[in-house]
Amino acid sequence: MSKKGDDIWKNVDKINSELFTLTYGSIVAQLCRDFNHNYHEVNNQLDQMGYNIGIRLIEEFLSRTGAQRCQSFKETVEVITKLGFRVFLNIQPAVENWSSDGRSCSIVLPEPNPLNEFVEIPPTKDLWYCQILCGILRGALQMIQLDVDVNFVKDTLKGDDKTEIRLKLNKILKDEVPAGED
Amino acid sequence: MSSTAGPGSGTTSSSEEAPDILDTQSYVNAASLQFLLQELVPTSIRVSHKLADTNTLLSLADKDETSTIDKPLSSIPNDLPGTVNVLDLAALDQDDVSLRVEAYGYTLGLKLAELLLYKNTRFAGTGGPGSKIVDILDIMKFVCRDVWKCLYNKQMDNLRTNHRGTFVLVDNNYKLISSLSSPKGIHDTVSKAKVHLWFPCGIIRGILKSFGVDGNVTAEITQFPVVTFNIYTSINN
Amino acid sequence: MIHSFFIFDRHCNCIYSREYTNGDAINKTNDSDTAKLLFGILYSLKNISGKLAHTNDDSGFAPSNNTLKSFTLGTYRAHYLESMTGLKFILVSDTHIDNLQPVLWELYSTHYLKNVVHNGLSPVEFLAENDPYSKISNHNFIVQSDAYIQSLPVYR
Repeated sequence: MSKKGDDIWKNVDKINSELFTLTYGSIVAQLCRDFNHNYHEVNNQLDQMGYNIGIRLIEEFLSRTGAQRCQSFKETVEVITKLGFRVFLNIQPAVENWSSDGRSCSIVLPEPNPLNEFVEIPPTKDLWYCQILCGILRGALQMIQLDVDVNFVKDTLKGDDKTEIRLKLNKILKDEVPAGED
Repeated sequence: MSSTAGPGSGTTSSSEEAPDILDTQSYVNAASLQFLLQELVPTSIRVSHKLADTNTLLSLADKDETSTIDKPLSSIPNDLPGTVNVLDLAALDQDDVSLRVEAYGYTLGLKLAELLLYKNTRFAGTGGPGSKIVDILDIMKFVCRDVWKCLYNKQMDNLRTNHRGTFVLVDNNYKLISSLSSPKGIHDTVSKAKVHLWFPCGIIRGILKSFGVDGNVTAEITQFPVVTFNIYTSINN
Repeated sequence: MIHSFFIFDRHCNCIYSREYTNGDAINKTNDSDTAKLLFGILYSLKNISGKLAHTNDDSGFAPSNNTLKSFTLGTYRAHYLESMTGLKFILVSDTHIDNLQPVLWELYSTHYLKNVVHNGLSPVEFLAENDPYSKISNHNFIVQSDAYIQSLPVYR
């Protein structure tokens, strides 16, 4: 799958990753100013932006990769890290800490990554600087009928030892039924 | 107005062409930035709307909440994930939204000049454009070439000046709006695309500021998706 | 010969309909009955194909290797492609055309992607009927998908 990720990456239009970092940074910085450093509100706006992006980005992802439905949640997470993160952000996070039922795991982002490089945030425990990623993942997975909880649990910007996103599969959604059918 | 430089129609090329052995540049997918920028205007509208609410102090979040497919994104009618109804509200408080979109660009512009000049000075002697910026026209050429190349993988198509501090920059196919097409027709497309243009206006103003130049930057859509940027400075060139 | 083109979203609503041989209607309301009937048949066929292949797996992750690709009725053939996101693309042709899967994929991965997904003025979640945002009606999508379909050797 890593090989496939490399092949797709070769053919996408690319931009300077620092430009991306600075653009994202200017968005977060301004949201912090706008909401007078109410970081819950900032997290929520970033999550919403991400969610909207996710439900569009999934179509780009499927079109680019021709990915098919996975056999298990483990495979889904492998596709997210080896193809998803690779193709969009040119990074390949690690997957750790699977729960015994195979429904929860952690995605650990490499350091630095294209969102958090050169960032110095005010010392607050409340801001999840990369929250947009959780929204993107949740939105994208919703569109392929996976109801998944996605949250940050650790962030090196807060002094943690790593930047870790926790995923938990709640349920697999059923196809919607047309009106009048049952 | 006389034509002083025509950077020509830059063609899109892969950023990985002509790699420099010293260049440890890393890249991300251009689509990632495009998706992010697409959210700037709707987010600005939501933020403006929220802050304009008289009950703001009461309604601001006191905990983190996660988005779901059926949870409204704001108190704006029908503002659900994946919809575009929020954009129809733009006209109501246009000024506040425009200022916000412009400010995203301005913050980016300030830092972008730093980044591009730093890169150029690293290669001093190789003829990088950053090493020979001496006057206002050089700054404009820097915007047309280096900045636009970094942002859009192409150069600005035309640059004109009246030699009294006014510059006109033309992009014949401005990437941020070229894929916009409203179900309500071209008139609606143009009026909504205009809000997006405050972002590059802010970027240009930020770049000028980082060279110590105060400028006023506006943009107009001459014939969609051709965008003309008008830059007014107090510097006679 | 290609007669018509339909797109349904994951909420089972027709979000685009285009006639090529019976007039040249786009998203006309009098097509909606046809669209509903067409969707009903596809829905039933899709269900039965899953049941016949015994892919009913409780995990919900079982791939449907018995996917519906087309069906024929008298002088018509309906070609069908469903994206993993539940978008359903349908081209109705005469029975001389065997396989339009690559064309359906192109309509999804190029035309829908470029003119709906990357078009910030178009929704990707379509609202209830009789709203300007209930269908794909932007100029770029119509013109470009038309040009593509009409350029196909099998079109006429």
